[in-house]
Amino acid sequence: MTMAHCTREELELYRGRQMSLLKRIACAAHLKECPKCARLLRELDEDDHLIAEIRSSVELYRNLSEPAPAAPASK
Amino acid sequence: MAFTTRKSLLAKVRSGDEVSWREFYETYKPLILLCGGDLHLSADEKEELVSKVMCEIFRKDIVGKYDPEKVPDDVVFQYDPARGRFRHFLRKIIRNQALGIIRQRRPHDSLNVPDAPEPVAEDRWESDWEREWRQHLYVEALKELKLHVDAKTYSAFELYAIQGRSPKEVADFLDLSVSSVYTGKSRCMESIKKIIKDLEEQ
Repeated sequence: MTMAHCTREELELYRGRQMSLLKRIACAAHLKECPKCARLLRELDEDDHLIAEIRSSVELYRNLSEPAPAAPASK
Repeated sequence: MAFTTRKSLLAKVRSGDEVSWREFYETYKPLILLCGGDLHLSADEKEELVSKVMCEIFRKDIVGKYDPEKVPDDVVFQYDPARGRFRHFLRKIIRNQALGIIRQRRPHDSLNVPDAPEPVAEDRWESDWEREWRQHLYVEALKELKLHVDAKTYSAFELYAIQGRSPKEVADFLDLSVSSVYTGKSRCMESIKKIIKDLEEQ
């Protein structure tokens, strides 16, 4: 089965199992044949790692952050 | 990548702009606390480390003038980029001040025991610092991203990628299609990768 290259959005839908079954089968078949789209899929997986690192950093900082001490008039 | 709008604090520091005490304090306190933890400081010592590092950085402005915990907002810091990377400058100050606190705590260790081990070996500290700095960089990059994309795109990215909401939930909440949530995520990922690269290289 042939199909045009996948867009990032289509691959996200594919990864998220949010495609119809037929589209998903077509996409899976295309990914087996198309190195370009397979690479794009790997990039999305790598993005997941970066997102996880950003998320954990944000959570860590959220827990640590406190407002700065009040700033009274100088001595 | 050129920063043409408001800059994050890290971008301002690195380009030699003035930054306020308050903004600097709130941004770097968590990083310093984390480093203090890596160096096995107690909770009180970590707070002391924050004060000492801030005093060192703002020395000419605050020492003898203000209590480090009560510095007016109009005190500013300006880093000279000719001195090298700010991250190296900060790393050195944190390490030196932490070692000072440790020596103060156990003076006999370093003075009377010739082969006393370093509290934290340099190579371990180096890898800890790299991790802490990277986390700091990610937090700053996210702030920067917020300045570079439209509000709805950022909200979708934050809800989906940072808060871990489902694409459907985000789409419903923001009145978007699921596909638009992914499009926004894709745009934000492209931007944040450029921002991270730029902040790393400055």
